[in-house]
Amino acid sequence: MIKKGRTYVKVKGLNQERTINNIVKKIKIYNYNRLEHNLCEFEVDFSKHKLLTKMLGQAGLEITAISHQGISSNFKKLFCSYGIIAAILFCSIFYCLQYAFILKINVFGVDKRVSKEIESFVNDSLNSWIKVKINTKQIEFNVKSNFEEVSSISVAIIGQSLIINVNEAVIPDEMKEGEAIVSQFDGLITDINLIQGTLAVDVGDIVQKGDILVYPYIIDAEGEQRIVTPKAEIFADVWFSGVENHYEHYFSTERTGKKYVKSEIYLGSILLYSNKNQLPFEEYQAEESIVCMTKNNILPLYRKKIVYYQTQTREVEESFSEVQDEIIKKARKKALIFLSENEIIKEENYTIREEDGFHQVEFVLTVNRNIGG
Amino acid sequence: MFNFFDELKKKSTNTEILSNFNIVNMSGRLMYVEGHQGLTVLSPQMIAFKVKKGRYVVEGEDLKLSELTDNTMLIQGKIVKTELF
Repeated sequence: MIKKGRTYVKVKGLNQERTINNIVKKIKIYNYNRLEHNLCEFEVDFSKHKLLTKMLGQAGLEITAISHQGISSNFKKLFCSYGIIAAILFCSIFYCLQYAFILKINVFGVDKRVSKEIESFVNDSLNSWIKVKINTKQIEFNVKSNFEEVSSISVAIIGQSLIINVNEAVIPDEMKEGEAIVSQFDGLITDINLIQGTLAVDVGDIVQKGDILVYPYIIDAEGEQRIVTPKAEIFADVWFSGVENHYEHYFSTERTGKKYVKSEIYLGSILLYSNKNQLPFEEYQAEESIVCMTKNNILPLYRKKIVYYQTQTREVEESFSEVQDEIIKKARKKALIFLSENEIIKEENYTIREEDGFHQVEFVLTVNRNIGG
Repeated sequence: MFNFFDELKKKSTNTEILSNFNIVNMSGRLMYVEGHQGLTVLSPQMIAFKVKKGRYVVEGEDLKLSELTDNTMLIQGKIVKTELF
């Protein structure tokens, strides 16, 4: 006979009869035994033990011992303790089973586009994702015969990945399709060395940035147009200029070295604190910085720091002739910025434009460079 | 279906009194009570409970309640004396 689940309790407290009378209205009691005047023990059905605990608690009686017996309690115990073991077992079996399968395909050695294409091709051509059923030699053969970009390939199963290593085939320039060569700079063409394509310009032409220099086709012996990748060295004189202005009479503002720091603390946009003091300077420049005072911006607490620098304005009168060399040097320096490293300057000159109390120096550097990219 | 108490009641003329509660004492070792209205005393020497229009006291040794429900109980132990007040 299957023994019904029982819960054994030992209860301590006074006036137990009254509590037992209340309990018995809802729960059947078994084997009640009064041990002492304030101590008793009894059993109830396992299914009612939670209700019993609640009722005893409400009555102010203390449960000194509680234990469960029977099928239902044992089943619960088993479920709790063996549940974890079962879960581990289940996970282990699942891991072993899924380890026999390929989960992803990785392609290396080619650009993203081709890589995606190969991945998709292999994905579609795979009959089975089970490792033992994958024929890597067949995959190698299929990929090589379907992709022109592939010169050599090796396929291997590593872990749960199908690794495809590909060496990209080098396609000769003559076979590649391309775009027209366009000018990278404004300039005067001085020399042309055409390798492949059809010229759009001639020596002595002035071109602007973006103009087509070489078309991406050739006309073959039969008079037909064939698309090719244009290739040419097109040299041109390119001009770079730097401009520097000079005023004979102007106002100069300089910092005296004195400064005043003002701090403000904000919570979000609300001002919490500010050291509002009268600014000791009449003429100043201000620099402002905002720093978050908390890590990860959890609390939006910011410190705003404003530094006031005292300045002094003075009137300057400076004749252009006194500083002419310096101004020209500055203009040249500005033009030099555009030159590449170790580039040979073919020619350099400058022009001075003069107006009432104002001089503008424009320094022009001429270099000869390949403008065909 | 045979009912022990109903069969006994058929033999009595005063049916009104007999409907209050039923008690069976078996060899002074086991007592079955039907129709109690709540326990008043519980100890190994005495178990007392309310019945309709009175109280019932069971005295003895090593008394314990084998089963207790809202209106029935099964007392085990050496039953020495029973009284109705």
